[in-house]
Amino acid sequence: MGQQGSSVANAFNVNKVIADITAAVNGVVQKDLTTYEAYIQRQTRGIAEQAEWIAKSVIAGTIDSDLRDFFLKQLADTSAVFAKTLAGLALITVEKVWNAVVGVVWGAINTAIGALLPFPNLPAQ
Amino acid sequence: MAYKNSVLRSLGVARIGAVVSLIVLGGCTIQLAPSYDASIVTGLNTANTQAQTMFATVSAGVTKDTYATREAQYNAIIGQFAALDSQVAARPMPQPPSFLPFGQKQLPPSDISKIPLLNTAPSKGALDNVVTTLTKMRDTDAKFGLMAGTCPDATSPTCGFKRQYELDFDSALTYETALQR
Repeated sequence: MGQQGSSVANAFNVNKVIADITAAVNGVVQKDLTTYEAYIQRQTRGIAEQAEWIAKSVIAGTIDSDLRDFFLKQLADTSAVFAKTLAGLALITVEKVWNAVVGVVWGAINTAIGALLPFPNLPAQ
Repeated sequence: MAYKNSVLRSLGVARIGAVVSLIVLGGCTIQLAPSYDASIVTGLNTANTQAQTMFATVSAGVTKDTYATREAQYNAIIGQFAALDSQVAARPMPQPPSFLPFGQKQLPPSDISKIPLLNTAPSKGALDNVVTTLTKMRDTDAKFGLMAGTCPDATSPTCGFKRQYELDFDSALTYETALQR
C-alpha cells in the first residue's frame, strides 16, 4: 500500500506526462526494432541460403541421404528457433514498454499527490 | 537557530527516505523474460571462437585418418555449448501473462503445434541445435573425414555444418544479448 507523503498536491502536467510516455516508449521501440530488423535480415538470408545449399549439394551428390535428412531436420528446427526467438524478443519489448509507461504514469501521480504508490501488476486480460 | 537546523535535518532525512522508497518501488517492475546473465554471453562468445577455429581447421579438407587429432577439440566445444545449454535451462523463466498468445497456444498456420512457445528461453532451442549440429559434424568427420569447402559456394558438408551452426548461434546470442535491458 502506498503512503500519503504530503498534503500539498503538485500540479499534474498532462502534456509533460504525454511527452514523457512518448519519449520512453519511442526509446524502447526504436532501439528494439533495430535489433529485430538486423536479426530478421540475417536469419531469413541464412535460412534461404542454407535451403539453397541443401538443394545444390543433393544435386551435386556431395551429401548422402542421411546428411540430407539431417540438414533438412536442422533447417526445420532452426526455423522454429527463429520464430520463437522473435516471440521472445517481442516479449522483452512488451516488458520494457509496460515498465516505461507505468514508471512515467505512476511517477507523475506520485509526484502530484505526494504519495509513494506502488506500481500496478500487469493485468491478466 | 538550533531548532531550525534540526528541522532542516529532519526534512533532509525525510527527503532521502522518500527517494530511497521511490528507488525501491521503482524496482517493482514486471519481468516477462529471464534476467540477463553476462556469464552466458561470455561463454557463448568463447565457445564460438573455438568453434570457428575448428571450422577454419577443417575447411581445407581433412581425412578420417587424422580425426584423432581433432577429437578432443570437438568434445571440448560440444561440452562448452552443452554446459551453456544447461545453464540456460536452469535459469528461472518468468511465465508470460495469459493475454499474450504464448504458452499452450499454437503458432498458425502449420503443424508446429508441438512447439511449447516460451516455456523455456528460445536460446535453449538454439543451443540444442548447435550441440546437435556439432555432434553430427564430429561423427561425420570420424567416419568419413570432411571434404574441403569454403562457404558460400562449396557444396561440401563442411560448409553446410558451418552455416547451420551460425544460424543457431546467431539466435542464441541475439536473444541472450537482448536480455540486457
